[in-house]
Amino acid sequence: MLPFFAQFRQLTFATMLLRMIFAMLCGGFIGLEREKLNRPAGFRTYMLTCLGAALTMMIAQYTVEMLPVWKTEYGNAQLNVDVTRLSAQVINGIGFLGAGTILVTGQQEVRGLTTAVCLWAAACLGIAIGSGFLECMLFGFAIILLVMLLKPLEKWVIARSRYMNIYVEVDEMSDLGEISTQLRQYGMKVLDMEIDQQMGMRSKHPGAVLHLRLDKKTPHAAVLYMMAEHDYVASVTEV
Amino acid sequence: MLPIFEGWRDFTLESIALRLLFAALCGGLIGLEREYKRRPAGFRTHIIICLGAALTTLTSQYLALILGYATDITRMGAQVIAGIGFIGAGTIVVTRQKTVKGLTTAAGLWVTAIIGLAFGAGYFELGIAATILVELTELFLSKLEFFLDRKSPDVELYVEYDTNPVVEKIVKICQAGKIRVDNLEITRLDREENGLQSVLLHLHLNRNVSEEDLLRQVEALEGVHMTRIL
Repeated sequence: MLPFFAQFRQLTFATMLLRMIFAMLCGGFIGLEREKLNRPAGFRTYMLTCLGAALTMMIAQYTVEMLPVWKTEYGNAQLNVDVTRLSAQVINGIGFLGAGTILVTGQQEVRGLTTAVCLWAAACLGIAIGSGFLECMLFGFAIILLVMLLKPLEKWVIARSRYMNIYVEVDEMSDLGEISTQLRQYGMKVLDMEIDQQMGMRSKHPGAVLHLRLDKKTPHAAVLYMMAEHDYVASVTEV
Repeated sequence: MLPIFEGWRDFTLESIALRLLFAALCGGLIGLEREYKRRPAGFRTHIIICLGAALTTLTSQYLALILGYATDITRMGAQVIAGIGFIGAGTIVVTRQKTVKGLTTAAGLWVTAIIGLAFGAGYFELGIAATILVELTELFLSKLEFFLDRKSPDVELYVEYDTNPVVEKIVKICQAGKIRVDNLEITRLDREENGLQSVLLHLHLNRNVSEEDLLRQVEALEGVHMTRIL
């Protein structure tokens, strides 16, 4: 533990303000990174979540500190409190809140999962900051920012994956069967096929999401070209 | 308890950094495989969940060991277990064919969070061993599951058709082949237009009729739009 931080461990007016500011800064930075990507939860959402989480921790610490006072002044010797109870519910509560940001599109794509998880991690970081655990704040914040920068690695893995999800729209429902036989002839495995749930809402064409396992050498773009060659394919994209 | 981790278990600056790093590494390892398989929860999602969970156990140890509060050290970690359950629930989908998807993704996220708890608490052995086991499960047992699924005589046949008495005919085909129909479920797909309906039949196949034969016979029926074995 850094001895320099020892002076911030006591809950005083100054450290209270400091923790609030740190929580808002950390949350805000994580939010900025997400804001750039135009995600639903932005700058202020993360700031508020992180601040709120820090507040719960400080309220609990305040309660513990007031406990002996309340015990003597009001004569209730049984009075009891656990300092982690409030913040523990934050972890659960933000999980709940995050679940609300997740949605499944008609193309069977799960969206908002990373938002939910980042929001949740921001809350966890806020709790650490609220308790004055500044070492943890430094490391945690650094690693979270580092992870945000790893997006290119994620893209690299996706581009080289032998698995691929494509969304096709065709003229007739029966063409979908034709497509899977075609794909098998090209040496690909159709692991899963999902008919579009919102058929007819976005376009008149029936569509489906196919989860494929490619053979060794086929690049992803080639699969799309192969599909697009057929007349009955109205549109095809990788999802 | 392995002796090599002995010094790392103390609550020091290096130990804190190491715990968080291990959480990020192991979360990332699990996430990479999921990303490669193009599942909804990928690389960064897993790292951040694992890291966040590690933060909670670290903070509760800090409260008890450094600040000296008389507290229940597991309380915050316990809520991770519930909270990530909620996030996972958001990824589960019920498709039009009444199948459930995303359950493995949800379970994978959840177990990653718990590995994060272990690292945050300084239980490196458990975290590392669990990561290896999860990886092995994902890499090898998924193939086994696929294989067992293919071998099973119990299949679900999904058929979309318009108003013709298609279901009766399908049941007749099944009776002719001595295929047992365990259950069937009929759903009206859209009310306004051509009265498209779907039926989901739970069948117990036998050696007389193969899946392909059955599909071919059902497809040949008049009024059938599409058929699939789920």
